Amino acid sequence: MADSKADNPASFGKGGADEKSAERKWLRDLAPFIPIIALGVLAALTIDGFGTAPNLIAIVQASAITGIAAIGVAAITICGKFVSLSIEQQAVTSAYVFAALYSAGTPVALAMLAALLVSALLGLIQGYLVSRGLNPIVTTLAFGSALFGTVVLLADNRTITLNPNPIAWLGGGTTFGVPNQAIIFLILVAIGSFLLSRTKIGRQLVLTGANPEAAELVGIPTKRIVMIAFVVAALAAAIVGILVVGQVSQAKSDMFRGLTIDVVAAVLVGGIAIQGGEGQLWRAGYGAIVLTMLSNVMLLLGVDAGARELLKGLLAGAVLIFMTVLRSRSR
Amino acid sequence: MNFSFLKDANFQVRIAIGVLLFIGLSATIPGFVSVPNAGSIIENVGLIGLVGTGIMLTMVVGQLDLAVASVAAVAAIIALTLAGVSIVLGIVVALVVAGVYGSLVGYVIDRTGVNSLVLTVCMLIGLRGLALMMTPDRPAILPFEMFWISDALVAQWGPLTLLGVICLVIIGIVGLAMRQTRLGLSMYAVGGNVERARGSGISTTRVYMAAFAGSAILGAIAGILAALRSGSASGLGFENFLLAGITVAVVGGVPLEGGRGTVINVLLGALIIRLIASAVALGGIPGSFESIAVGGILLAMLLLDYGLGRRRQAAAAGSKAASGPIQTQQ
Repeated sequence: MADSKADNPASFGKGGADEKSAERKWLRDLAPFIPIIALGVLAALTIDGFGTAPNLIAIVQASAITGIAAIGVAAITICGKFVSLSIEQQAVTSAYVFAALYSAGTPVALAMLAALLVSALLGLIQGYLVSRGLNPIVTTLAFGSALFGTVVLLADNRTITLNPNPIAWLGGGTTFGVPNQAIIFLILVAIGSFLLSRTKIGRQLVLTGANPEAAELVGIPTKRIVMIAFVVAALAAAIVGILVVGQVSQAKSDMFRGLTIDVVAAVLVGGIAIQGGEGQLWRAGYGAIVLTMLSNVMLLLGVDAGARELLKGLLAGAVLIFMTVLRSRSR
Repeated sequence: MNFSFLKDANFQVRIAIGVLLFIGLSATIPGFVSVPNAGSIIENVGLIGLVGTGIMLTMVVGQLDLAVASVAAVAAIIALTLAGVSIVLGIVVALVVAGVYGSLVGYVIDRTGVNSLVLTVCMLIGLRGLALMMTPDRPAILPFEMFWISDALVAQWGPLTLLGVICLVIIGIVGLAMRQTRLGLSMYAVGGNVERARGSGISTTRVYMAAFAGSAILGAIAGILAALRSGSASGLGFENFLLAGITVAVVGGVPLEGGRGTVINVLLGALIIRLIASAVALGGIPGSFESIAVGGILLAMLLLDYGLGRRRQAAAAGSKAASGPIQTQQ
C-alpha cells in the first residue's frame, strides 16, 4: 500500500491520455481510503492502545448503528435519489412499534416482523412519491416530520420500557467477544454488497442511477427500482430501531437524535458518488467506521463534541467536492 | 409591478387554502381573532418569512440551501457573545461572517458543479459543530443591561411589533431587489435555464454567490432577531428553521425546479403555516400535531404542484401551436 502510494506522484506526469484517465479512476477509488489511513497511522503513533483488538472492536461496535442505516441509504444514493432525511423518524417508528407490541403481549418474533413490515410500507410510500418525480430530499423531510408527529401523538410522548428485555442479547450481547451489533452490521454489508454486484436487481439499481432515461429505454422498471431502494433504506432503519431497543431496553422519541445527519455524512465520507450510478454498498459502512474512528480518536485526545461535529461536516464536504471534481475532470 | 402571478393556478389554490383556513379557524377557535394573536401571527410570519425568503433565493437559481438553521445558530451566538462589547459590532460581525460564508458556498457550487443540497447538508453538520464549540458550557446570553432590546422588539403597537416590522421591511426590500435589479433578474434567468443564461452573458458565479450569501444573511438575521427576542442562543437552537424555511417556500408555491418564485409566495406560505401553528397553540391540541400538520401540508403541496405541473404539460402539449410560447414567460 505504502509503495504504490509513493509511486503515484511520479507516474502522474508521464503517459498518454488513456493512462492518465486510468490513473485518475484509480485515484478516485483510492480517495476514500486516504483519510482513514492517515487517521489510523496518526492515532497508532500518538495514542496508546489505539491499535489493540479491543479498541478496534469497540470502534466497529460504535459504528454499527450508523453503518447499518447508512448501507440502506446508500441504495437510495446509488439509484440517483440522493439521500433520505427521514432515517431518524423511521428508526424511532420501528422502535416504538416493536416495543409497544411486545409490551402488549405480542411474541418477540411477531413484534419484530410487524416493525419491519410497517417500516417497509412507510419506505414504499416515500419511494412511490419520489419515483413519480417528487424531490427526494424535500419529500422525505416532510414525510419524516409528519411521521414523527404521528408516532409521538400515538405514543402520547411516553417512553416505553421493556422489562424484561427479550432481545438484550441481540442489542448488547457479544459472540466470541465480538458485539452482536457489529456482527449483524458486517453480515448486512456482505449481503448488500452481494445483492448489488451479483444480482440483476443490483445492476438495475446502478444503471437507474447512472442514467435513468437510458435505463428506462432498455426496459429497466426504474420506478420500481427507486421504490425498492426506499424500502431497503426503511428496512435498514427498522433494524437499527430494533437493535437499539435491545441495547437500551426502551423506546423514546429522542433516541435517534442526529442519526440522519450521521448517516448522510457516512455515505459521503465513504465516497459514494452522490450523483448516483456508481459506488459500492460497503463504502457507506466504511464511511461510518471512519467517522466513528475520528470521533474515537478526538475523544481520546479530549477534543469537545462541537469540534468533532465541525470536523465531520468539513470532512464530508471535502470528500464530496474532491469526488465531484475528479468525476468532472475524468469526463 | 407585475401582477401576473394572480392568474397562476398554483397561486390561486394557495390563496384559497389561506382564506378557508382563516375563516375555519376564526369560527371554531375562541380567541383566534384578537389583536394579541394577530400580533403573534404577524411577528412569526415575518421571522420564518425571512428564513423562507433566503431559501427561496437559492430555489430561484435552481439550487437549495439546507444549512440555514446552523447558519442562524452560529450568527446568533456570535452576535450575543460580542454583545458584551457592543451589540452593533456583534450584529455586523455575524452578518459579515454569514455573507462571506454564503459567497464561498456559492462560489464552490459554481466552480465545481457540486450538488448544493448535499454540500449544504455538510455545512449544516459542520456549522452546528461550530455553534456547539462556541457555547461549550451554556448558551450565549444577552447581557442583562440590554434586555430592553428584547422588550422593544416585542412591544405591541396594535397588531404590530418592531420585530415583525423589521422582518417584513427586509423581506419587502429583497422582493423589490429581485424585481428591479439586474442581479435579481439574472437570478431568474439562471434558474430558468442555466445554459441560455450563460449564453446571454450572465455570470453564474455572481448569481450563485449572491443567492447563497443572501440565504445565509437572511437566515442569520432571523437567528439574531429570534435570539434577541428570547435573550439567549444555544448551540442546539434554531433546528426547526430548516423544515420551517423549506415548508413556507414550497407551501407558498416556489417551485423546486427554479426560475420562479417571489417573496409574495413566501409570505403566503408563512401565513398558512403560522395560522396552523397558532391554532395548535390556542386550541389545546398536542404540540406533536403541529409537525404532523406541517409535514402533511408540505407533502400535499408537493403533490399538488406535481399534479398541476403535469396538467400544464399536457395542456401545453395539446395546444402548442396556439399558445405554447407564451408559457415560457413567467
